[in-house]
Amino acid sequence: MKRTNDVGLQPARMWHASRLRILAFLAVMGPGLITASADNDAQGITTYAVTGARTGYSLLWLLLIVLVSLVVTQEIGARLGMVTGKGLGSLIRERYGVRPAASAMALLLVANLGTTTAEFAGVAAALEIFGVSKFVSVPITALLAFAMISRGSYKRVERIFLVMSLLYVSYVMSGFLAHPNWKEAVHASVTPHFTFSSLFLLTAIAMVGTTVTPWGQFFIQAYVVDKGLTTAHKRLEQIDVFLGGVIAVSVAAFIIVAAAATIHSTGGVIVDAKDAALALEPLAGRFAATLFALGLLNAAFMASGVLPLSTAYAICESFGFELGVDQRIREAPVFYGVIAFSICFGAGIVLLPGAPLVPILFLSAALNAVLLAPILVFLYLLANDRELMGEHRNGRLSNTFTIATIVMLVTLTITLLIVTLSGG
Amino acid sequence: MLYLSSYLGRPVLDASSRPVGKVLDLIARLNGEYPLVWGVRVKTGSKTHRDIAWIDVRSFETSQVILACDSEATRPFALTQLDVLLARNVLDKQIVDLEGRRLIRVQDIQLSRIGTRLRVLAVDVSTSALVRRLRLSKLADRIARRNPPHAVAWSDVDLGSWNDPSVRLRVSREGLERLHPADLAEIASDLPAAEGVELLTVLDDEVAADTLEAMETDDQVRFLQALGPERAARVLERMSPDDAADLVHELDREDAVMLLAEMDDEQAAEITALLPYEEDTAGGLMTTEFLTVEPDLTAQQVGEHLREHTTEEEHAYHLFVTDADGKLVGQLSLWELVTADPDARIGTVMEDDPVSVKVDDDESEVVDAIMKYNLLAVPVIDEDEILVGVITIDDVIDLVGPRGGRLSTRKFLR
Repeated sequence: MKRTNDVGLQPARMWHASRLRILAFLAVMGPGLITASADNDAQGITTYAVTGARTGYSLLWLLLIVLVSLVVTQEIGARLGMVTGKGLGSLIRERYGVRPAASAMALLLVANLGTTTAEFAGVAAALEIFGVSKFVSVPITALLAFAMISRGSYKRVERIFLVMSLLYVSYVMSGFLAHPNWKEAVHASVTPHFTFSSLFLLTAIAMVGTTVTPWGQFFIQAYVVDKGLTTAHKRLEQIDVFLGGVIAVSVAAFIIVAAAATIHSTGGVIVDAKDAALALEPLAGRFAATLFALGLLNAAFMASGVLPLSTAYAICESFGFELGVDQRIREAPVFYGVIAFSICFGAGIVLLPGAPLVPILFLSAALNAVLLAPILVFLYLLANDRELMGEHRNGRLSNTFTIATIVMLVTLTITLLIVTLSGG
Repeated sequence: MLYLSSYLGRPVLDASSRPVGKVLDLIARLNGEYPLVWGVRVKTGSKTHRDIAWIDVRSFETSQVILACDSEATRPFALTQLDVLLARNVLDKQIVDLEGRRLIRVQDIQLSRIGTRLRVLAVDVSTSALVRRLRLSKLADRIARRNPPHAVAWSDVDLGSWNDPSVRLRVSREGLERLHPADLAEIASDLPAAEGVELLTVLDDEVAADTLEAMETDDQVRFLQALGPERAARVLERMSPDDAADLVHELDREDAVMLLAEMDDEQAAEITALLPYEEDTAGGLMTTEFLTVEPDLTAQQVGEHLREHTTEEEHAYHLFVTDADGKLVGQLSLWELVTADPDARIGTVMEDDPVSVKVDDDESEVVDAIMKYNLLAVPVIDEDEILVGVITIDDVIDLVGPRGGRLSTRKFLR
């Protein structure tokens, strides 16, 4: 009653199989690269432009340290995900209990509310260049972001955003065309330079805080878990994280260089987004503002959806609430509540009459850095948990750099407080 | 209601009221539906602890715990295979709720005092329990009034994911097999990779195959690879050939060849026969497991034949009638078979000239045929009109329904 006939595997299938193998390779690559390109969000672009405009080349050296911190912490996050198959929120809850998890989530929520606000400020700033009032652009963006999240269509659009983030290449070109003083730039990259002024310290903190972020830690781990990567992919994933870090920091360096060579050298300051667009003038001339606005809008819009979503995901995972965009709003009230609250909060702050957009973008980055240290402490403890990580627990090198990052963040924050309070 | 969390960290005193330490954990022995607490783990120093048997505990209150003897006189107590540390291994973890068929996060554990003994009653999953543990008891009360506390009876949870990473899981097959394979598939995909594989490992081959069938393609590949070639081959054999062939398509060539070699020859041949067809054609959708009968048999003979040779055809509501060459000449629903005169020849009661599709027809043509004629199954023929397979409506629903079932947030972030 059954009929079978024997047919061997056809050549078409062989092609299929080898194509799949390349895809499998590409599948491992990704979390590090994507988290890194998401690092260059509206907050990042603005912070780097402000850094270059304010301090010229003098903070470039810090980028090398940021690179090491970024790669080390992202690698730990990816490794935690590969070994445990669990998100960071889940792990903190399971290993340290309810109250530490609640504190970590509170930190994440505050940091991400700040960053989400920054993204809406980015939307407002970008569209103000085209003469669109923020009272029009921000509410529309907020509604659009929520609609896209709840309909589950963000994922598809995310790819487009990521491709569009190639716009950052324009900074690299602009960096060259601005004829910066390369000798000075390279010298500044390898020579630590420090000034005990609150402006300098705040700029340094913001620069660290927009690159190594609390949300980035949660995001890469969730991404690795979601992809189902295991310790078999450890080596490839390390390469992925390293490449992502190098790309993110290189883009940052070129934005700083472009801004330093154009805005700082003429003694300009960045008050609104139009001023920051001057960094692109050598490349785009009178279209600089348009190009800048497009890049900023793309980055801001992508992040204004991804941030509330990953916040809601981490909180619900940790506390055990229903989550997922496949759930109805009634079934997952906390999940959608966190998303809606984040979007309303971010959009609301930006809509306050007279809200200063560039300072919001810049100061939220500094806030990220301050809140990052405790998250890194959890990361450090988890990565050294012998029972959890076994042979994949942190080595001495990872530990040294993680502790160094925590110490750097705490020192910078305390120094800034002291200097600010003493009126420096 | 007694809660585990309200005992943790409470002082432990011995019979002469000398402090021994603080309650670190409760030890429950997994015996019966509602396990008894057999011991208390007491934290005696910053890194030291000792286990005290329940018989040496005189009074167990949320204010303090008092031992029945002096600290030095307690009986030795060693953990057995059946013992589980409630705070360490269960509290705050994700476990499987067999009644609600989902993963839940353990917010607290409900205990009940029966005589002098303490039993584990249920796992509290409500928000009020979470908020109470955050020491916001007023808010917790307010939440509890609005949403009555929700607890899952201990007998309805699966031990699956309570594993300490150092202790291998103890998943119970009976418990999990209360769940529908579609629910198992969803839970296995949501669990961390290693635990999901563990879950699939304890299921028997048949259930594992159904569970795998209900998963999305990339999860199928991931789980199949994790099962190891031998087990994977057993599970593949029990999947329906069309689903198995779709899955084999997604594997590396070497993996596929190895798996097919490991499989039972007949099953492997069925899958291999399906491989050449493009996925989005009738050939790619069809199964080769179907029932055929010859036109000169009587209805009674066919009925007897079916009773003797019950197969696993889940969707065989139709019999297909073929001539000696295997050409499709008619079809017959089970209803028509049952109501036919027992002596009538199949050739006289069958539907002549049934709707069929060609093996290389595009999947949209298959959907059109099934929708237009309201079919439960459509036969697939080759260029010589030989019946080569059958497409059942369950495979077509996947094409027209909302894409691929649920979309998880994790997938969404990808």
